[in-house]
Formats: sequence, C-alpha cells, structure tokens
Amino acid sequence: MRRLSINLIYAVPTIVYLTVFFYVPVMSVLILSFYKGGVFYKINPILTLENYINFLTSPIGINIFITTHLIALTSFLVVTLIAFPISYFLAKMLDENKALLIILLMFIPLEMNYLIRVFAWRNIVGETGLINSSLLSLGLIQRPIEIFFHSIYGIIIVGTHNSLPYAVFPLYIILRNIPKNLYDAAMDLGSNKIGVFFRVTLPLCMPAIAVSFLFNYIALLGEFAIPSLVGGTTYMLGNHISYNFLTVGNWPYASAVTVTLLLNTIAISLIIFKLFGVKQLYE
Amino acid sequence: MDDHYILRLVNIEKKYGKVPALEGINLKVRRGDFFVILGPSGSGKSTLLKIIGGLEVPDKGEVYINDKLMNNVPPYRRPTSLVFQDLALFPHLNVYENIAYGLKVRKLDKSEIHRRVRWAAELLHIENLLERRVTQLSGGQQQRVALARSLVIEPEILLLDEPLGPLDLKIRRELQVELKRIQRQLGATWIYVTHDHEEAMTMSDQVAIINNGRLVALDSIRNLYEHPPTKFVAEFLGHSNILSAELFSIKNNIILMKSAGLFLELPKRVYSFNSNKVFVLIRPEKISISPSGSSNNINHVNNTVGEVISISYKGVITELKVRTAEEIILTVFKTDCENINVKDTVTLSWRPEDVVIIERDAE
Amino acid sequence: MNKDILRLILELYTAIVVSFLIYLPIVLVIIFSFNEGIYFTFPLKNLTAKWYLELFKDTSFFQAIMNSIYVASISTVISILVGTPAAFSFMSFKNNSAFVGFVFLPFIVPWLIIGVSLLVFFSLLNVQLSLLTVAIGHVVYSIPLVVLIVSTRLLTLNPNLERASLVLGADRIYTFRNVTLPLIYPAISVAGLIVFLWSFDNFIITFFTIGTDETFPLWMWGAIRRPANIPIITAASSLIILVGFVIVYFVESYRIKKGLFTSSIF
Repeated sequence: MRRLSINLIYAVPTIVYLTVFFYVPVMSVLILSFYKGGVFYKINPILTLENYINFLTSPIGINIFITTHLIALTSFLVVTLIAFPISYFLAKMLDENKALLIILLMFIPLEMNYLIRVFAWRNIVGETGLINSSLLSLGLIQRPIEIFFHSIYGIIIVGTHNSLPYAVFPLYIILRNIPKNLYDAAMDLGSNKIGVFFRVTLPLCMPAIAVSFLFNYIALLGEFAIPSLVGGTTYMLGNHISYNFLTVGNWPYASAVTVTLLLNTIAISLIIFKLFGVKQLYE
Repeated sequence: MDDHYILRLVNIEKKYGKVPALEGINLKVRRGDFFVILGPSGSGKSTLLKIIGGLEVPDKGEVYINDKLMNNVPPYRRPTSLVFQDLALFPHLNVYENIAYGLKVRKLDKSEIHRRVRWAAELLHIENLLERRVTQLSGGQQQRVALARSLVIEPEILLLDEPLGPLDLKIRRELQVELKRIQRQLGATWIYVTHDHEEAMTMSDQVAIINNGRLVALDSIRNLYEHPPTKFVAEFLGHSNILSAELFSIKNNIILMKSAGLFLELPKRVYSFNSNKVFVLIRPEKISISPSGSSNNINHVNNTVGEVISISYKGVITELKVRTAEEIILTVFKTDCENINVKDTVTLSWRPEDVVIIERDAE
Repeated sequence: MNKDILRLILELYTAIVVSFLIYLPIVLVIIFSFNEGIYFTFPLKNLTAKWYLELFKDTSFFQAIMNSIYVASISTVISILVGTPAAFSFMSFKNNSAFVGFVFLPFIVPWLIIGVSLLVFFSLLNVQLSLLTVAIGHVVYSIPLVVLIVSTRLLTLNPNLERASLVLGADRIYTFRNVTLPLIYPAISVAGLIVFLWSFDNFIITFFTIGTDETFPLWMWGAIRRPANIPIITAASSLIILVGFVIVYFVESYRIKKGLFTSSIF
C-alpha cells in the first residue's frame, strides 16, 4: 500500500500536464458549447442548448454525421478485408523473420509525412492525376473521371493506405500465435475447413480487429485534410468543425459539434473495450 | 547469546491476501552448515528464503542474523546474498561485469575487484568465459556465473533458491557435489531451497522440511530418513511402505504390531507412543526377496509370501511390487533380480531393526 | 497442390497490395520530382533537377523545416521527461481503469479535438499562438505514446533483475541507474524517435495551434492549393521521403548491430 502511493508520485507531472493542457481545454470547449454564438467570433454569454439542437436536428448536421460514420465504417471494413489475406499469408506461410521484414516495410512509408502521402494519392487519382491522364492519353475515356476518384472513394483509398499496416500487424500477431492444435482439435470435433475458420479463427482474431478499428475508424472521424484534398465535395465532421472555428467564427456552435465528436469517440471506445477487455487489446 | 547459531527465525508468519503462506516458523541455523529447506512446490519455502534475504517482510515474527534483529533491514544491508531460481543475470553486462557487480557497489578499487573476480571464476571453473555475454552461455555455465556473482562478495549466509532446477540430471549431480565442496572450502553458511529430496541427501548437514507453510521436521537428513517423525516426511523422503498397524503385544522387550494379517516385530527401543494405532514403515531397500521355495520359515512375523505384480528396471536397482498373502502391496528394491519374474511367488523378509514406527497424530 | 496454388495467390496478392497500395504513391512522387512537366503524366518530359533548385531557393521551405525540427525537439524532450516516470507508475496502476483512461484518453481521441480545445483554451487566456503552443499540443498526444512504449518494455523486464541487484548490496538508486535504466534505455530512445517523427509530421493539431509561423506540414498544406506549386511540392516530398528512408535505414542497422531485435515501430 505504501509502495503504491509512492509510485503515484512519478505520474504527477503527467497528470498535471494532461489536466492543464487537455482536460481543462476540453472543459472549456464544453462550456463554450452552451453559449449563444454568432459569426465572426461573437459570443454571447447566455446559456443555451441551441448549438446542439442546431447541429443534431438540422438536415445538414445529420447528413454530415451519417456521412462521416459511413465513410469511417466503410474504410474500416475495406482495410480489414484487404489486410486479412495478407496477415494470413504472413502468419501461416512465411517464417518469422521474413514476415516481420515485410511488416516493417509496410510501416516505413508511415514515417513519411502524412500530407505527402495524401498529396501523392491526389496526384494519382485526382483530376489531373496519373490514372486519369493515362486513361485519357490512351483514348479510353473522353473526360477525366473525376467523380469516381475525387470523392468518397479517394478518402477510402487514402484511409486504407494509412491504416493498412495497423490492420495487418495485430492480425498477424494473433494468427501467428494460434496454436496449431486448436485447428486440429476443431477438425477432430467435426468441423471442416470453413467451419474452423468461422468458429475458431475469426473469434480469436477479434481483439486484433478491434485494435485496427480503433486506429482506422476513430482516426477518420476527425479527419479534414483528407476529405479536403482528395474527397472532392465530401464534407465530413472534421471539415465542419474547422470551417466553423476558423472561417465562420461561430465558436460555440463549433464547440458543440466538437463535443459531439468527443462523446462519439468515447462511446465507441467504451463499447469496444467492454466487448473485448482492455487487457486483451494491450496484448 | 548463542554464538553458533548464525540465523534464528522466531514465529515467522506471512500471508498473501487471505492465503497463509507461512505459519509459525521457528528454526535455527548453525554457523557453517549446509542447511537445506526441503518441501513440495507451493509449500512456502521460496517465501521463507526471501524473508531471510530481506526481499519480503514477514507479517509477524522476527529474523535474527548474528543475534541482530533484521526485520527492518533492507536486503542490501544484510550479510546475505541470494541466488535466484531464474538466475537473474544482468543481460546488459558480460560475465566479468556480472560477477564484479557487487564489488563495484562496494567501491573496491579495480585491482582488488579483478583479483576477486578471478578467484571466484577459478573456483567455479569459468575463467575462460569472462568476456562472454551471458545470453551465450549454457544453463550450467549461467548457473556458475550466478554463483560466482554472489560468492565474490563473501556473504556470511548464501541463500540459494532451487538453483539446479532446470538442469540436466547429470549436470545437476556434478554441480551438487561441487557446490558442497565449495561450501566446505569457504566455510560459509549456505541455505539451500529444493523440492528434490535426493539433493537434500547429497548435500545437507541439516534439513528443515516445510509443508503447507509449516515446519514439519528439522534434523539431519539421515535421522529424518531413518526415523521420520510423520507420514508426510516418510513419504516425501523416498519410497516407503507405510502400513497402518496396531499394537498387538509387548513381551520380553519385543513389540509386536499387527497390520491386517501381517505381524511386525521390532526390538523395544525408546519408543513411547501415544496410541495403539500407528503407522509402520519398512523401506523398500530393507526387504529381502527370494523366489519361493528357498526358505520355508514363513510365519508372517517380519516375513511373508506374495505374488510379484510388477517389475521396473531402474538401472541401479530394480523395483518390484509384490502383493502379499495379506493383500498388502509392498515395494521392494533389489540390486539384481535375474531370476524373478512377474507372477512368480516370492518370499519377503526383513529385520526387526528396520521396522520404524510413526506416530499417527502429527499431520 | 491446392495449398501451393493458394500460397502463390496469396503471395501475389500481398506483393500487389504492398507495392500498389503502399509504395506506388511514394515511388511516383520521387520519379515525378525529376519530371519537367507539372503534372503526373507519362511519358516523362525531360529529366531535370530544376525543381530541386527552385526548392532550395524557396526560403519559406527551409524556414518551415527548421520550425518543424524546433517543435519536434521540444516535444520529444518534454514528453520523454514527463512520460517515462509515468510509465513506472503505470506498472502499479495498470489495472486501475480510471488511471488508464485518464492517461490514454488524449491518445485515443481524434487529433482534431486536441487542436480545437487548445485553440479555445489559449484564446480564453489570451495566449498568443506560436510554435510553442504547437509543441504543447504535440506533447499532449506524445505523453501517452511514451507511456505506452516504455511501459510495454517495463512489463517484459524480469523483476528479479532489480532484486538481484539489491541482494548484491546495491540500494534502490544505484539499482535504478545501473540496472533498470540501461535495460529500458533502448525503449526510451525508440519512443523518442517515434515522437520526434510523429511531431515533425503532424498536421491536424498544428493547424489549430499555430500562429503565423509554418511548420513543414503547414507549408505543404498552403502550397498544395495552387497547381503551379505541384512540382516544388513534389521535389520537397521526395526529399523528405529520401531523408526519411536514410534515417530509418541508419536507425535499423544500428539496432541490428547492437542486437536489439524488437520491432521498432511500436
């Protein structure tokens, strides 16, 4: 008991720092969200719920909310589907050193600047990008295919690019460590190969999928750079928040949207943790 | 006060949460002894060692080293050193630096450190390994480094926590002999924890047997083996034939016990037992076995006939299990048995002096 | 036979995904930085290094890089100093969900929230936004990151090693300096490297907490809006990519040489 409280001392700087520079600021956003706001940074110190009502009940607000979540969900599903065969291949068919090398190779580009990668993708899928210009010069299309690429799909592609390594690695770890006799036992009890997959493999992989969910889904919820650059006219929660803070200047309203995003994130995380247990994820 | 007891433990108790790990431990260790703490896994012996070394604090009770109370003294100020079960060699230091660690702490100067490290390395025959990284060594070599590291600071009491556990049998045996030799040579007090009773037999001067957190016996290993105080000790220390028996008669300095249909006669010694129902022990190696027919004097007093139900060849000895006429199964050790097979009828007999009585109460 | 075909398919699939989805954009950026034309079209017009020269003439680029290094250095130092001790506390409290939640919430939430909250906070306090405020924002995310990395290492540390030092006569301070610290030092330097690179790279938090200066990501953001700048950005990007590769190469070979095999990325 004495040891325990002594140990807490070492965390004091962290606790102080995070309180001052994270929790207090978040509180101030929360409080601000209840004020009446106007454009160009006008703030009326009257307490009101109108910001939340405005956001959550207006068609625009609902649209943004749903769009953002859909994009995040789709991106997560896509990346998980793409990652699975890769993880499977690495875990089951390569020896450890080669597999880890390939995973390392996948992570290296992440050390590069995030905007560079978005920029690079834009130049591949954008209006004047590589794909379009190649197709144009080959005469396969008359006009640049903007609609397909400079849109939601662009966001999904970039999102996948960013989070693929984070999806592959946890899956790899779990798949690698499934003891072989688990498969044997399942088949012994009567499942065929497909049955084994659904009943044994998939459930065991859930923690890894949960981890990749946290990285991919939540990260996308707050994005505004990606939609801005490759999303065409797609307008996500992140865009809405930054627009209202910086361009319109209606801080209270923007704060309300921010708080919504925050509560969203916490809710989703809690659900995931309840479902999978934090210890498991800590891995 | 007592100069030849270097360590005294008085009423040591330790609980982990609600679970008692040690209860009412009282023991004294003589200076210069190779003292073994013997017990099955989970009996609390490692905890006891850690309390002696200062890594754990007892909930109740006192630890006296050289008659000084040690309860509040941290491990680095006790005249003890501990060799861990997993050795805990420092991976970021090489062999030389591992051994020199305790000396550097004591701020000895370089040449002195060098001299002592060399001495310890030679003692344990690892002089040629000093430059190696510890991860490159074999199990036995790592063992020696761990020992050197603790020996080099010349502790008054060296504590060893099952140091030979993970090693091969052959290496274990070699090291057992060597450890005993080193201890004798240095004259220090060693307290050695193990679950292997053969180790205790090979090395100990005194043995304390611990079971379920309690001290069950404290004596020389020979006494404990020949006259075990409880059934647990008898069974723990080796193969035994333990029979329930009842006092049948006492006549002319001869005690006769009856167990099922078998009579066991033993000379009257200084036995005083509290009840007429006891356990009787005959060690397998003390029973003579011969094919039936070679002796006709079967009177079921310290002898009987039976059928062999199994034979296990164990190299040095052969272990036979025999079902006697009284439906008792006795284990017999014999050094050569070419002429006995399973299902043979055999004669068993033993001397009165080899029958041991164990009180029933003390569990 | 079935198994081999499956293996072949998977191998091909992995190769394609990794090269196209992950490496293609980067390789293309490097290639086109040498292209005379502005747009990414094949065939390459002329191989030229002129965009690199243009880049070097652009002072705003270098200023931005300097600023990024400045911010990243401050962030790294602060977060390591503050986060490493907390990792030790974390060992005792890892089962306490309040503690874990408190420390890791800033790590989980979208960076947007950190940026926006600090914007509001600093405005309320009338604090001028600057590179320093950017660093402050970066540290909020970096502290949990450091705690995560260092405590993972602490968990794998054999507790008997510290005890061995104690029974050899060393007190706790000596033990910390001579046993604990050397053993966790690689994890601390990995954490430092990761935090540095992350900070250098960060756009979202920086966007909201920066004043009139620019860090490199901000510079890119500003320049990306105008198509005429594409080639310069391309050159800048490929420069950063190549520098990044070089850094990673050196770090990895250093680690392999020293025999530290845990994968560095986490």
